[in-house]
Amino acid sequence: MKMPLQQLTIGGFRGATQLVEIKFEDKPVVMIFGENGTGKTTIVDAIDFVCNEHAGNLEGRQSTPVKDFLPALGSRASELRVDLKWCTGTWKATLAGSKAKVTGAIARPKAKILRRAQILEIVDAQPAKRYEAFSRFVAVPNVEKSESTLREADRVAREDFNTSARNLDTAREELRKLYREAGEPKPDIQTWAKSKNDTDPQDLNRRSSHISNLIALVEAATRSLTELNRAAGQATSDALAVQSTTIALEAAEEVSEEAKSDLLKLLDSAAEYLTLHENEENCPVCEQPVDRAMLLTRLAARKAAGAAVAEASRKLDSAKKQEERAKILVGSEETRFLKASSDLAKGFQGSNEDSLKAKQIPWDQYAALLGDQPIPNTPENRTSGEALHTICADCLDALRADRDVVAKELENLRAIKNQYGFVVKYAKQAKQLESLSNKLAALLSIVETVRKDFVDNALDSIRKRVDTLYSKLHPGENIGDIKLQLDPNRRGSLNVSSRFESEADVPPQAYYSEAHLDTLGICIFIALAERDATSDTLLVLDDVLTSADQDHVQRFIEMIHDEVKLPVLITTHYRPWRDRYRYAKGPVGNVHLIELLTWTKAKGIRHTKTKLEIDELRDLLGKEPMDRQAVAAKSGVLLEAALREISILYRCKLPFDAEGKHTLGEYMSGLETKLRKLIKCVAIATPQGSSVSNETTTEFQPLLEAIESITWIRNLVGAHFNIDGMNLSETEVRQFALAACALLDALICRKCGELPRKNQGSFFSCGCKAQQLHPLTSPGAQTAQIGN
Amino acid sequence: MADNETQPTLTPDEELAATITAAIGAANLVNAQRLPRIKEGLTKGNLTSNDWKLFAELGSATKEGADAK
Repeated sequence: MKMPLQQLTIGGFRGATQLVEIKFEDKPVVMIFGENGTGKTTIVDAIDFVCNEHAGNLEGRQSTPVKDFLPALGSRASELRVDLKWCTGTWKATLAGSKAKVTGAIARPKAKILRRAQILEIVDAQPAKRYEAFSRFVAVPNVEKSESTLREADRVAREDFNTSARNLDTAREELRKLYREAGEPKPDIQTWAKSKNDTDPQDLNRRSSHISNLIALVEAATRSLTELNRAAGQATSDALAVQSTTIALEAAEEVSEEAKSDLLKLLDSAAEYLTLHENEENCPVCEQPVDRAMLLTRLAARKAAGAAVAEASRKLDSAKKQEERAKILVGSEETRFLKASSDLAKGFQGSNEDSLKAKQIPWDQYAALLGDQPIPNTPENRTSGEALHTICADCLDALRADRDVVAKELENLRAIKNQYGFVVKYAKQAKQLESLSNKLAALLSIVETVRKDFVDNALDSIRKRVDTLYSKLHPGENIGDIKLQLDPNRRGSLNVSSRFESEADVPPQAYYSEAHLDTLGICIFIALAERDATSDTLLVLDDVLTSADQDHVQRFIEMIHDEVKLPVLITTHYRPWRDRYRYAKGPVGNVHLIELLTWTKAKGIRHTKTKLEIDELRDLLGKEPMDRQAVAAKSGVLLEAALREISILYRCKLPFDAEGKHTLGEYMSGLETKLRKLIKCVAIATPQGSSVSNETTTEFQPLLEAIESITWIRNLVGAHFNIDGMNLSETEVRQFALAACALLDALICRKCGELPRKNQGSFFSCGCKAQQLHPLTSPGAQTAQIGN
Repeated sequence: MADNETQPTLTPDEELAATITAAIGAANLVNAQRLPRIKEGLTKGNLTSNDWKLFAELGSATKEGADAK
């Protein structure tokens, strides 16, 4: 893995009061070490600004607006610039208003930045807030929206299917009821229902119509006969009225001469004439002069005397007219009855109804009624009609009963047809809906399962990664087993649980120490950053490790180098971390160490490359005049650091010291003779373009003996004021330093710069495995455990 | 603002929509011609109940069969 970040130039930005340019070596890890206030956060903010358009610590703070406080002290906003040179291009960021304005050639790199203040937020946040950090990997709101509509479609389809199935059951039950009512004919209901459904109801309809027609014929004949009888009765009554009014008139005429009806008529005519001819003076009959007024008075008197006769005469006239009308009506009703009788005869004779056949009507007696011509209105024919009517009227109840039976049969058939139709319809509908419902259920099952798997896998993948990283940091500490679970009862809520001692699934916030929570937060952040990473992603850890014991620092270093899959930029003020690299206790060959110098407003942020201790010793050896004390002291410290590691690896016996401090002499004495003879340093190098590795073996004992004979130089020259030391030549001091360098060169890997510390089964190796240290154990000692 | 946006990566919705669509296609539940619409609808969250019903009704009909409808 290479460092894609090549150069960062910062001007007028936060602590960068002067233009500062940092060039990065092509190593996977950059460590920027600096005391507090030397500009570490400014560098991180600058990366945040250009990569994420984020104002770093000032983002979102109302009390320190970005526009006013992002520019460096004494700088204008227009002077602010951050240039970032990446392996794929260059980006330049300036401040436009309160926002970053970034220009660049191609897709911008991402910087995943974890700051000290954010670490606990990840672990200790409310589940909903924590979910936000994970949501970009697990939140699928659009898919969930479509899943919801699918669920609704499935629900509706199931309801429709259930409704249809219920309708089918009801129709089947109704049909079964009809089947039972029909006596459950063989072979089965299905055959029966189908047969009924195929039955044409026309025959039944025709029979029903025929019976109704017969009944109507009887009823028509009955009505006609009733009308005839009524007319005949009326005619008899009218004839009697004529007789009685004739007698009354004859009686009135006997009472007076004037009562004679013809005289009355003459008197009426004379009075009318005189009234119409007012000027007539003579009688129109005898032509003699008459007293007209007196004549009219006389005529009135004579007419009054015959009024009773006149009334009787009028009544007689009226009675005669009524009698005449009655006779005509009787004739008409007789004709109508004969017609009705004829229709009745024809209707009944042509019928095959069983109830009529049973009557055995003697049709030959009614031949006159069966002819096609109008039937003569004779008393014989009328009698014949009346007789037939009587017979037919007797059949009326039976006909009505037959009609009811047929009507019921028709109704039954209609009901069977209806229910059978429903059964067929709902069966088809239910089948279609069942198929639809099944398909929708299958679709829903796929969407739900795949979605849950997706979310579970995403979380599980993150969880596994967190667990891997965390177990690397805390092996055998009875913590870990991190679990990330969506809260089933709350949308967008993520719970985190872990193991603590013998308890599983406990909230780490409740039991873990702050340091353990810190490292958990860092592991979660790294896991998320890796998941979100592209080929252009830089992981930035801003002062995340403030204090930790040596073992945890070592494991953290190993985690960063062995596990993290991204290029990393680390800032720290934690010196032991930095110094582990300087004393070859980490793969310093893979780290670009940068040291920030003291910040002042006038000078701004300044930096220098951190030197390894051995490089510093070589620098001291190269200076003229040589600083004897510094060379001797540095050589001693380096030897102590290296021999301390050897003593730990081989569990050498050293005098007990409560603080673990030992002198160079004690470390030397601790290395037993047998062990010294066995220790070998093996360097493995593969020349460029070759697939064959070369091994260079260096015996440890000669190197140690070369030092052991002159270790006193360290104390005489490099530790105290000593007159004897002044007598030593520069050559002797140089010899001591060169012996120290030779031993360190033999031990330290030339590729990764690390001492071999990892147990490889039969020897120790460095992180890159290019340097080995044999054997694994001291003669007679137990198997070494260090570095596993 | 940058002249060029960062390289597009799939959102979880897009990634999941593709997986679901592939699973539906493998199950042969929906006409293959409809799969792009399902993928788009899942990604954008705009599939309605009627859309799903239609997909299910049309089922895995062939192109000719679907066109005939």
